Amino acid sequence: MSSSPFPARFRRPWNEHPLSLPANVLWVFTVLLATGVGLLSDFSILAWLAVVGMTIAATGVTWVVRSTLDSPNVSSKPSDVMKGTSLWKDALRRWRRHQMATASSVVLLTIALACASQHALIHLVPIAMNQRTIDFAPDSFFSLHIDHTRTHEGHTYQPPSSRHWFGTDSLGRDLFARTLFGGGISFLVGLVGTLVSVAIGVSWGATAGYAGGRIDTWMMRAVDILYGLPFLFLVILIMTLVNGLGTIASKAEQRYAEIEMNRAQGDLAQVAALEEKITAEERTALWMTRLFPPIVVVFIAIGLVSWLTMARITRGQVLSLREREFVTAARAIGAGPLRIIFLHIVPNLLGPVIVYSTLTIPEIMLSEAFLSFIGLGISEPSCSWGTLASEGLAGINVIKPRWWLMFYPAAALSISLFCLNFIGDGLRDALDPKGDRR
Amino acid sequence: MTALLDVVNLRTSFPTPSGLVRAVDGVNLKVEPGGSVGIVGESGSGKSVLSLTIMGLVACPPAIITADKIEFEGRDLSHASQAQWRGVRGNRLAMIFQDPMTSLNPFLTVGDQLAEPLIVHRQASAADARNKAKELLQRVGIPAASERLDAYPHQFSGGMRQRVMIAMAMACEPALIIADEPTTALDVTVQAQILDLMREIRESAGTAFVLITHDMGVAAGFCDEINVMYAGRVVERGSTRSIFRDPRHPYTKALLESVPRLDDPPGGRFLPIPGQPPDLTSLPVGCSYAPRCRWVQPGCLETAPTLVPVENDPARTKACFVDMADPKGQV
Ligand SMILES: Nc1ncnc2c1ncn2[C@@H]1O[C@H](COP(=O)(O)OP(=O)(O)O)[C@@H](O)[C@H]1O
Ligand SMILES: [Mg+2]
Repeated sequence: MSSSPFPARFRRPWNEHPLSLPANVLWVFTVLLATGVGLLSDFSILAWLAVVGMTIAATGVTWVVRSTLDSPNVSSKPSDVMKGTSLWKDALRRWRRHQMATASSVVLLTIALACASQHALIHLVPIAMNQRTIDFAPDSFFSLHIDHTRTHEGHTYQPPSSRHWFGTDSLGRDLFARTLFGGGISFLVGLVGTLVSVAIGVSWGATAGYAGGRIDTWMMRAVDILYGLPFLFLVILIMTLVNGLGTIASKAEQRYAEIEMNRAQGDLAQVAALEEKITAEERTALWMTRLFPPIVVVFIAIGLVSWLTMARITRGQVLSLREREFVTAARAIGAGPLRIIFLHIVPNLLGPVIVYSTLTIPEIMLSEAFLSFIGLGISEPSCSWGTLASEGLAGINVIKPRWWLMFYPAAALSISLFCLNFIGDGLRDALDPKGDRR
Repeated sequence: MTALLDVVNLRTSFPTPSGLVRAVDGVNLKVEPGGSVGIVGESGSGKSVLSLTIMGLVACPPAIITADKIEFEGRDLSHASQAQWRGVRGNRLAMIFQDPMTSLNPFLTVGDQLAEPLIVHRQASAADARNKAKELLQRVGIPAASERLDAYPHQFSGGMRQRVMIAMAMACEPALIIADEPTTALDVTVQAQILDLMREIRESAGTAFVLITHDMGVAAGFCDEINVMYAGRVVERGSTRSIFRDPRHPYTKALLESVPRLDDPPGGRFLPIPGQPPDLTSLPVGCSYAPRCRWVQPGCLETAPTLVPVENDPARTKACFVDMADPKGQV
């Protein structure tokens, strides 16, 4: 590295280099943008210029990093062991060494932020299935790229272009907006489902592990039995029941609408006759679907079936933590059981639970996608990456390969799942207390 | 003067699939205020179980604990509730563990852990506890105490962590500290420093110590009285001087001979104890040391000896039939 134009004091090992992360992230986004632009049907000189610009920037940053890179085992700074660096800071330093994990977290954050801002904009601008209180011009940015419910007349089945980046579907809705919206729903299902599974799994496992003895045996036997059940069938059963309820409920809703109409016309005899016709079942179904909207049922159903591994992991951790010497030392100090569980055991549990959660999110997102793909789960007018992909599959045929309908949602889902898995791997290494402390 | 700690006929056993493990089998122990009692024995002889039982830290089912008396500061603890135990532990009766690497919580700062006994027992405010924690760190000889309060255990060396453990044990100014092999995990120079620190605390604060060790040398430097433990029983008891000068139990003699000494002639006698410690699930009918004993007599295999005063020295007791000076003069 004698040819480096930079003085030696600028040299940094990879995980301390301030530009290492930007270099990686720039390359990832350059590739993503180039793919996106390359798939547009009309030539767009501005987009190509952006791709070229990003490529130049990425090359430049990479060159700077390469020429100031120090070998990783020579620390440039004297170790600051005695300054109160916490375990979390140590973990962060180990995490920064994982290039895939750091780059993945940036990509995932970008996707999640884009989806979240689409949802935010949609809710800020009140629209409900084409009943807008504010009407945007058909060619405005909001209508073209944000509003996932607007049907662009004469623009059905458009391939990706500089007007509709990801193309349009059979109703002329912009697929970019729908992909963002579906992503929001997918992430929501993944997060809430994981929270449900963490809540159940951690409390079940921690209780079993801390109680020990017979209670532990019975609680874990229950988990073993549940492991043996074909869970997908259970979820499918639940979802089918919910869908059936939904059909009855929508019938009831129609009747109520009819009643309202008659009442407005003053036809009281007809109102009474119609009210007579509404059965108790229909009332219950309506009440149930209002209480548990389908999306909530998806959260609960998936969360309910994915806590088993979490319970096992937690129980194993608590069993070994309970016997650790520092727990005995805490008892020797006179600390009570609550203090020991919450001050001494739970923080030591956090690492594995966080790691396993990051691996549960993609699992649950995938289950949701699968359920939606086979027609259960999220239903119109809402959508998720799973439903979009399944609609896309229906739209594909040999004569007119409308590949974009399936390609973009599926690609977004795959990229997110990749990222989550890499992040999980990185976290596992970073949060491992036995990892080296350099 | 009444004893600070008076334990009579303490038994702790663990039911296991291969039988009942009698880890502590009828031990008597008396500690005077400000005294220092050593418990010495090979590993596996039940020293840790004894100390944990005295601390009330052995979970009672599955373990089976019986005692005629466990009296501490005039209070009988053998029937104490968990809440009563918690009030004593860390407050009047504290413990130092063997491995300072694992007995501190890796996720809490040293300051937080030092403050814990004060918060639990004295209901100290966070600021008070922090101040006291700083004083404690200074007291045990850790320099730059105020900065180190916010450090995590992994940033401390083994010796410094053991100092932190000692500071934690001292936090509420207990009357008795039980130290279970406090120096075993440390290297020799640090061992001496830690023992010096404990000795200094004993002299300045008047805290009594029970020092548990497998190292006769460590016990000799620290204790006034030594109990030699073998297979869950105390086999010999006496003042440190008398035990060292004139061991009366073959096991004590063997222990002393197995310690290399500076005044040993080169190539001279340095004898490891032959054989293995006995299986605690099936102790022999007679003396449990008999299978390894150089002075074994036929009578030793038939009845187990009890702890009786040595003829010419009433302060000393031993559990052995043999007079080593004259093996034929068996009782
Ligand atoms: N929880 C337990 N269950 C069964 N056996 C035990 C338990 N704790 C200790 N023991 C047994 O008790 C004996 C004494 O152990 P210990 O007190 O740790 O010896 P040491 O003198 O080395 O401290 C050992 O044989 C050990 O196997
Ligand atoms: Mg021990």
